[in-house]
Amino acid sequence: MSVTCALEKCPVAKDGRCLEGFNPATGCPHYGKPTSDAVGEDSAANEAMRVNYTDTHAGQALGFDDIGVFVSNTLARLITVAGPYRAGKTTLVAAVYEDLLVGVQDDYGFCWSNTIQAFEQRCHLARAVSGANTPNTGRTSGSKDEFLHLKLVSHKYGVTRDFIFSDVSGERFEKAGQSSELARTLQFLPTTSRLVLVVDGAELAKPESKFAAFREQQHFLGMAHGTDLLANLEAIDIVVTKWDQLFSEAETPAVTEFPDRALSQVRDIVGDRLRLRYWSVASRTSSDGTIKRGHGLRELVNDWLMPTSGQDLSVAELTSASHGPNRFVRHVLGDT
Amino acid sequence: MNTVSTTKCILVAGFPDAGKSTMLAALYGIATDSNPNRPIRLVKYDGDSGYIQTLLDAWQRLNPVPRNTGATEQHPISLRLAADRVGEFELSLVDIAGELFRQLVIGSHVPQELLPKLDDVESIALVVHPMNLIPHELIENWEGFVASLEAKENASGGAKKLTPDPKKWIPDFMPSDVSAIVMLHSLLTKPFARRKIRLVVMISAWELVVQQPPITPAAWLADRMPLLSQMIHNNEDKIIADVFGVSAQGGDYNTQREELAAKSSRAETCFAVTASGDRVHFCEPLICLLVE
Repeated sequence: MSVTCALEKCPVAKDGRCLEGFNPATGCPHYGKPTSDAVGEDSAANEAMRVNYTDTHAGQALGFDDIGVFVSNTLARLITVAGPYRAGKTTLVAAVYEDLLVGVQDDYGFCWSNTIQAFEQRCHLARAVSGANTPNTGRTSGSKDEFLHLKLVSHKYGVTRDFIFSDVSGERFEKAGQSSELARTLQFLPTTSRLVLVVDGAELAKPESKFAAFREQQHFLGMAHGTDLLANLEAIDIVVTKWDQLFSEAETPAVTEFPDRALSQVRDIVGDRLRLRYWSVASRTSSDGTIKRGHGLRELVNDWLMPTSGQDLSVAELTSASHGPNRFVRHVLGDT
Repeated sequence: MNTVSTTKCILVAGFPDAGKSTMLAALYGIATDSNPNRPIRLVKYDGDSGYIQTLLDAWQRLNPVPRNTGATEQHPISLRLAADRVGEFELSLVDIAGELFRQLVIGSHVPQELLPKLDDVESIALVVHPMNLIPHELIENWEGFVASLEAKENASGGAKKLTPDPKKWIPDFMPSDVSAIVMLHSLLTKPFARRKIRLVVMISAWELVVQQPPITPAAWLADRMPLLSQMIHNNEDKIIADVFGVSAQGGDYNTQREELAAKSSRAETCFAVTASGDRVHFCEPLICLLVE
């Protein structure tokens, strides 16, 4: 009996590899589902049923065509989250939303989201109701660029701010790092006000991959900057994800020296014009419970919410506002 | 006495087993009571009178009211009521977890015939039952989730099951917290013209929320439905909100039956609790929605 998948381009029937990155592939929600033909029949039936209905707000992810209007109407900030395949880009953004669902926080709060169902879809595999044994995040489709909206209010700074987060596959950034032509296909880059370069902490923990863990991000940044696609950029965050998996290696030189090395490499590319930050984040709790879900996350979000454009806090204020003893939480370079 | 005549439309919305029917029975019982000082009076009832009489009978006999079988989903029950401070108003009861909920929240569309009705809504009474929420549970809290799911299945005779393929996300998986937000969001965006809405979150069966030290309705909402709590606090330009604990039964039928039966009037047994924990009349949350 042949294997089927709802995704037309999935190679699982040929070589067993899942397009969504699930291993084993049977864990993928599309595995074993009818092909797009059958889905098409359903769609036709649904369309017929919708004739007497009026569309209401859907809460699905935004497309590139939506965000231009949105950004100009709301003064939203576009945060481009870039990094390799399975580095934790979507998980990072989903974790910001998930953290708001866990409880009311002191520093900031949920205000609104135009893409709440899209967040729910992305959080599903980390929830008990999915029936999964270990938390996961569905793989971002490589076929189209999507965006998630979150409006937050900062009690700390007394501001309300709309954020648009990119949810774009790692392959798109990888290819953009290899070709200026492909970099230009990331049409949202000129609108980006903050760039998050995601570093896979699990890769940083492995001897065989630790030196290459930041290479793709460097290539992408170099290409995007060199092609003048980041004209509106104000700040860059280097975010090491999966800190829960890296924590046991935290005192090794490869890890302790990484922040200064990475920040220096970024500064070499973009110069001193931009604010640079370094963060370590855990979107999940470590298996031994030492690192809790959300480690470093609230500090990162607080920084996104911090007033800028003439209202920036001084370096001294930034330092005093830093939380906790973790020396990886924030390195500040280039502040004026 | 009536001072102002209004035609405000209140949508009473809630999830399955939220306590809407019990609340409707209590409201109807109070509105048709012989007490001349009752705060709310019935002007007109549109709908199946046999259904409301069945609810009323169960409520007056201190029995659980029968579950809504879904007949009111497409054709909401409407009560025309009058209150001293606000005049006449219309109360529509809609089961948002029924077909309309699926259409509005899950399917992202509504039947065109219901559009004018929903367009008229100025205020929403969102009913949530403290024991019947769809929880937000992360995998790392799996044991707690299974326990809550089993308790829920036991309570409903094992009728509720997870879907066959839980890995595939469907909107029914959304925590109650999020579903409520999606509904509010839907009513505040196109095709609806309103940009502001009045909301009262009514935590039903408040007599079951027993904690030491006692918890206020506002604190309960922040603890159990934190996203909704944040949303209504942080959108004062769009949502004028309040939260109440309400008890339409008046107490636990198993442990307080004699105490309830000893009262001179069934209507006396019902009560509400303000956000800060003060006990008020059962009808106060609805009146709160109507007062300018």
